[in-house]
Amino acid sequence: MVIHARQVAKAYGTTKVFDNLSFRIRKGEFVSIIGTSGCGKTTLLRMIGGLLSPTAGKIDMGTHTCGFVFQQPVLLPWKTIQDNIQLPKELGKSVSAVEDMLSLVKLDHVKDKLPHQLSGGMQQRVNLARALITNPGILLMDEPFSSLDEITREKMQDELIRIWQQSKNTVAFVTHSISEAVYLSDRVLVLSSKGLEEVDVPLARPRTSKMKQTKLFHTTVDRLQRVLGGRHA
Amino acid sequence: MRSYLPSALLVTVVIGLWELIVRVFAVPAYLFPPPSLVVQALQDHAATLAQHFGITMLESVLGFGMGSLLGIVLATVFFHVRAVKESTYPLAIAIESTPTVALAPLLILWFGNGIWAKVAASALLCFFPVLVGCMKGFNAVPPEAVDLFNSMGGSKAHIFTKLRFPHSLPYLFAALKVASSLAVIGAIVGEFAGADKGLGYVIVTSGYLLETPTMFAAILLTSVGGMLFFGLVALLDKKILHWHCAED
Repeated sequence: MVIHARQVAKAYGTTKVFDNLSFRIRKGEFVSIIGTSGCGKTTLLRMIGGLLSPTAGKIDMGTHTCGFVFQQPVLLPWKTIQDNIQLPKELGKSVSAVEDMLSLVKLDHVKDKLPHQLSGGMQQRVNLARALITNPGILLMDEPFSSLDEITREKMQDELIRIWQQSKNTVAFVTHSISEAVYLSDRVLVLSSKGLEEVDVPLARPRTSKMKQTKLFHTTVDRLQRVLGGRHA
Repeated sequence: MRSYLPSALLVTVVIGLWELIVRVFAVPAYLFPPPSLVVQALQDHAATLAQHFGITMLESVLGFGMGSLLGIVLATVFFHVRAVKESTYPLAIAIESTPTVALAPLLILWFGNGIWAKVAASALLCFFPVLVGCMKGFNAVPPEAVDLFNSMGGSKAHIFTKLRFPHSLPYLFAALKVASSLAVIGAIVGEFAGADKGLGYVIVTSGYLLETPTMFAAILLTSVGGMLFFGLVALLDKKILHWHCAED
């Protein structure tokens, strides 16, 4: 077990975001968190990452460290790609070799460029590499592909699967796209006003984009839509 | 180079018309000297004018340096200690709202007739835009970037030195450009209030003596000095902030 959340609640003043959430995430597992906007997906992820503390309950992560991949790349515009990836080192973290990270996300050829010279998809790779360089036990991703165009987005999903299989990280992935959640995850946590529900994804590994055409894929998507309380209920 | 052509053309036309009108209507030189006489004055008094120019620029540069440094330090303190900001900021605004011309005689009284009263006047004009620009820059950092630093265990000092400060540089340089022009104004104002050197002194004395061509020459030099100073800061801006210029 890597993450164990027990009766976690969050409220801002008298405004309740959610309460009584309990779930576990196993080592090496890829778990997506989906939910309607405003249900607290990002809040939950930030709590796992220690950026927010719960109002009640506890999130136990043992000695595992977290790496954050934000929705926006948030690269420092005055630093080269290489130095952006190495930022954790500057903040006193122990990191792996930047060359390995550059080749993992396939950015060797642009390592001396500045962020604004890169496309949105490439900037997100930098974002990912910067999180991975600290060898985090848990990778927390907050809608990292939502600002990309669809073609880049699909490419990045495949990249992520490849990198995840290589690095064997535990991943908690927030998204608002049901099909993205199904394609990437072993398990999906559905967050709604009713609370938390878990749905297993029965697709085999390794995933290929052809699986998106299978019946199993579509029935899983349908099931998640029903759980979310969408129109397909 | 091509972008300078229209303005160079305009300046040439204006100077030509100026020379023509002054000659055709026989305007007395002590009222409105033709450009040729101004150039003559520049040549005749080249050595002394250069000396006065040097003094004024020295005052401006020192005032700019001290005022800007004060602005940056004050902005840093304001950012970190709320109580200091709340108590001191209104005072800074009050000083800024008092015309430097009104304060100049007082500065002469305090700092004497030498360059330091002029440096003080110049610094007084410079510090406020730098203070405001710097504070704005410190607060302009996107909250996600602060989250990023926090998620990587960055300390408060890390966030300030490695994120807020570099991020505020475009704001700082915009303010420094404004301050560079104000610095020369401050120095001249100081010289008006009491001096025996500098371009401000030349302007005042040549006015008394009705040596208007010399006065024009001195005024021209103040403008050249201001532009030089501005250009230098702009150049520095481009060099240091190449990542920012390229972004726009």
